[in-house]
Amino acid sequence: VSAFAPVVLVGNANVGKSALFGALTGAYVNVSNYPGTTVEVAEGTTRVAGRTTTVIDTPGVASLVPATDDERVTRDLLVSRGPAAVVVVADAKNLERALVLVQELGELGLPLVVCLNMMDEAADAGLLIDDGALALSLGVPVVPTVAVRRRGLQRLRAALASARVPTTDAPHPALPPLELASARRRWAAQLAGSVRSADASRTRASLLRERCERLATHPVWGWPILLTILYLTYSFVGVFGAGTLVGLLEDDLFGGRINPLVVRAAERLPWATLRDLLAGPYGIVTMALTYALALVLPIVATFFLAFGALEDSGYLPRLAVMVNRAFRAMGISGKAVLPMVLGLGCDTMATLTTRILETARERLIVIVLLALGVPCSAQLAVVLGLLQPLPFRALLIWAGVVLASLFTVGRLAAALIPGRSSDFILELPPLRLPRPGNVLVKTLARIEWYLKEAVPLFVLGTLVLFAAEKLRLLGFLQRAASPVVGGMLGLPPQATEAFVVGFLRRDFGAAGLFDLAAQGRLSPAQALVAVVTITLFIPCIANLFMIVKERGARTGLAVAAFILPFAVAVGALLNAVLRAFPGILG
Amino acid sequence: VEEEAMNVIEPLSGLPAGANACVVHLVPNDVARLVRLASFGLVPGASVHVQQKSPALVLRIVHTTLAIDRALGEEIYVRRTA
Repeated sequence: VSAFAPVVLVGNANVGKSALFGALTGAYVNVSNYPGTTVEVAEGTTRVAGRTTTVIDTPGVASLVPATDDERVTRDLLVSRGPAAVVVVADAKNLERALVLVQELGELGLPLVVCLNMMDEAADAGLLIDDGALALSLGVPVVPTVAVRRRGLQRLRAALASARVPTTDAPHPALPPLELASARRRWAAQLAGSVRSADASRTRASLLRERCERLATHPVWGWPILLTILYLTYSFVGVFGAGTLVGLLEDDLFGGRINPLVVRAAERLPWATLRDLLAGPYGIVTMALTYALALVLPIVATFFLAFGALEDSGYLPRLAVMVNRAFRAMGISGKAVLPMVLGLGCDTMATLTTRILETARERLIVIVLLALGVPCSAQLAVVLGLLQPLPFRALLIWAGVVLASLFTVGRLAAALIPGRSSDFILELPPLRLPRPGNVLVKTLARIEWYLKEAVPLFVLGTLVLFAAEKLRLLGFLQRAASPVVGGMLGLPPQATEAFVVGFLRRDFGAAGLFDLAAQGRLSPAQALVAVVTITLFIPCIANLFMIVKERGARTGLAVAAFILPFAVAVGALLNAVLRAFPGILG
Repeated sequence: VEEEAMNVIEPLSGLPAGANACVVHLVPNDVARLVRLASFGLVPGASVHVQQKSPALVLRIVHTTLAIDRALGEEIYVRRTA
């Protein structure tokens, strides 16, 4: 292995490539269970034979015949970087599919090492693989590993130096695509069959897993399972996070201890402006830090924990199967559930991952829907916290209005935007019990990202409000917006502030409303209208920048120009309905 | 009668849940789509188990579990096996 030529990891999706990358380099990348999380290529370094060597992680691919962006990226990378060794990471249970990649890589003349990963799961499924026979047949080193438990890594490192171009019965590359694919598959199936024996008994864990997998996408039982998971997530994030934890941090810690202390300390400051800047109604401590750390952080942290566990479990692609039909009605495939659910984590991140969708039309529809009505974790959490004291019906109405908006706009977009939607072809990875360590590391990385990304924007938003109040702009803005905020939406003038800062971050806006409600300044009907409007409200600055980056400034502006009046119109409609039928909320 | 049924070539979408079949051919009206299916192991000669048909078609090909649109199942022709 030369000091300059890198080692490249290549493999199908869900074979533990990212876990192997992490174990080799010591750097952590998102180790997740569905395609699309490693669209970006990660690079790190490791020691091979005493030398520092670059390791490149690539997106999961099914083939090197490029059909998706991921496959294009991987193929280009292999051609341009001239790797010293390519590690083909195989799921030991799915040897055939990895062998197809081995053959394709062999035709490119690349030196390989085959890594048989997840040997523990193969053993659970009762499969034995003769790695020696496979190595002999291919003429390349074959190393069994369990990357998440760091087993086999020393052998893999040692094998890198003896990477070879494999000997495979390559079919003529000029065959028509389908014949070529079948010929590769036939060769792979034959070789896999000759080195694998399936007579070992399956463990009870593996039988139980298969039963759970069948139930998770079952046409009948799949729905109660989906609802249960939804309810558990809501209990954990909405009740425990937004209720218990926020109560502890906001009322007891910030309200009872930190803020009185800061206010008292600030009183000694000679300048009134500085005093207000720190501890006034729009103070950096009393508003920005209280919101960011006491109100939003506990909710975001519990959401990231729940989301990380779901990601790790392999349930999300099964969710895609369950909602495929509903998504079809919106002109997108069930595959789009992956960015949509990720949007519940962060719409900005999700907008980036729309790249996994195969047609430009579908990408655009999903980007619009994300910006319109998929609340990000921070916002969702505050929204759930706001709805929690209201009757349960309020939550249902909120969900119903937001879903109906998504559905209507999706249908409309599907009818207006030309082109076709992509096929729904999705691999379902095994269901696994989430590994607490993995979930925790992922959650901490996301919390770090939240603190770096969100807290400065909270401070900036507070400064904008502070300046606006000092310059008497706030009152002017409230009066200017009052026909809309007060008249159409029926909200108190202070709610205008929430919508203004909602431009900076969606959750900041929702947090402002949360504060108003906590002070008893919003009736149940007002709270519901406000929450629906802020959920549909235009995307945060970061998301808008991402849309501009991915689709151009014109699309970004068009999306914002459509969503703003749409959100207000839906809020006004709901307000009118709630006024006409006050009995709805009891 | 049983044996006759075994020899009939029918679209995968017509099979009941729980059936096993062998892929005979794929109707190539979109090459990219078929290459995609092939990369998951759906090629002539492959054995397929139909796990369920709704809300999407869920297939097992060796140890790969694949979910596809039901409409795609109409383009995959199979012969039933035991």
